[in-house]
Amino acid sequence: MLNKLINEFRDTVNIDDFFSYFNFEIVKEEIISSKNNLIFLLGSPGSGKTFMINYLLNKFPDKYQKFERDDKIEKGKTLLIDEAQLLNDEEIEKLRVLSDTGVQVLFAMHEKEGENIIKKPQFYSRYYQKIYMKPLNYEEFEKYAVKKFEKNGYPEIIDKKITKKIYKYSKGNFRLSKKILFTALNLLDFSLRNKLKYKKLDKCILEMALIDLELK
Amino acid sequence: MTFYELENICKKRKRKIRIILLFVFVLLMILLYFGWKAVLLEENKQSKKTIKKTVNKIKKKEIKRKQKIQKPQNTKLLPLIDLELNERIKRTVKIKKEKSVKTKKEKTNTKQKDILQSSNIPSFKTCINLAKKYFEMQDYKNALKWAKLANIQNKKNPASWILSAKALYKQGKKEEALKLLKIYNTYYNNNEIKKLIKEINEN
Repeated sequence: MLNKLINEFRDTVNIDDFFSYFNFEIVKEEIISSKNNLIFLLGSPGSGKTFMINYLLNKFPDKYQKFERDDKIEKGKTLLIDEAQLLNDEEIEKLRVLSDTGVQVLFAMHEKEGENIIKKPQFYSRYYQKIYMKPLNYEEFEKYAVKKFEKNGYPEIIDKKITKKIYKYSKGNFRLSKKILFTALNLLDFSLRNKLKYKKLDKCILEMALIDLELK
Repeated sequence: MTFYELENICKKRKRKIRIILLFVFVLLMILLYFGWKAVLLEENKQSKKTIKKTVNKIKKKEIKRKQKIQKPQNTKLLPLIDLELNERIKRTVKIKKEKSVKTKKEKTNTKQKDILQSSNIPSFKTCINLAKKYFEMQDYKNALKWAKLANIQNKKNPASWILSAKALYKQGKKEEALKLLKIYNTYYNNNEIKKLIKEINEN
């Protein structure tokens, strides 16, 4: 019954599912206008780094190139590296050397790993820029969630109390917010299909979702 | 976990929270109740103290008033001889002085004390009986004299006062007689004295 709505909150990176928010726009502008050869895009898991990379690749294909190990690197394009914490030291060194030749390299990685790499003397001594992906604020998250429900024709099954509670547990993290909503909607779908007492996203359904996700 | 398992867990948690809230609420009520009682007890104690103080104040005031009313200048009833009535009384005192020449050397304030100390005065009964006999014989001077001697022996007994007053009245000293009786009346309530005062006033 709620399949379409549930699919909206799947853990996928879908450029068509673009939602503009303040921090996203700031980060985008910083990346586009950056003159440094080394850019570190840092943020917690689920903060939107991968989405940002895919967005830039999609919107500016002439300017950006995604890093693939065996692919040739095109001149004049910025190299975007996602999950850079998975690279070994040798690969990181090669990329650093590449940046010295004038190629702009963007490392997208988790905050802690990124901070550790920056502390190494070969990176620390060079010109680099740190950009942080910050979480959504409550108003932005509420706008995002309600928009999804309205788009799929179910605005009545969510209310402000529920969004506040979800925000309280997700703290504005995109992935976690989607995960909670995905789980809660699955439970609600089960209740509706089996004609149980739950007709909308209420405290009970949310509690059950949080228990299932071990957040409570 | 299945839907139903999750639902059960959720319900159990809610029940726990409600029990805890109820427990906290009951605790608060108990604390409030005992706190309120303690406050009341303190208020009662304070009010009792203030009431006691006011009652004591009132009592003291009343006592002071009574003392003002009751206390004459002399706190003790003086014997008849010490009361200054007329010259004749003084003369009788002088006669008694001659008898008790020996005791003049002692420091005494009044001549009456010399008489009091002498052992020559007969008992109250004999003095009163003599005074009565003289009164019946219409010898009012001697009646007065023996009434005073009886009074020395026992100043509280109203008989000596009554006879003295009667004797004075018969001698034509109405005011002095009344004065005597009133003095006695301020110290002791006696119906005979009151009657006599009335009779003298009515003549």
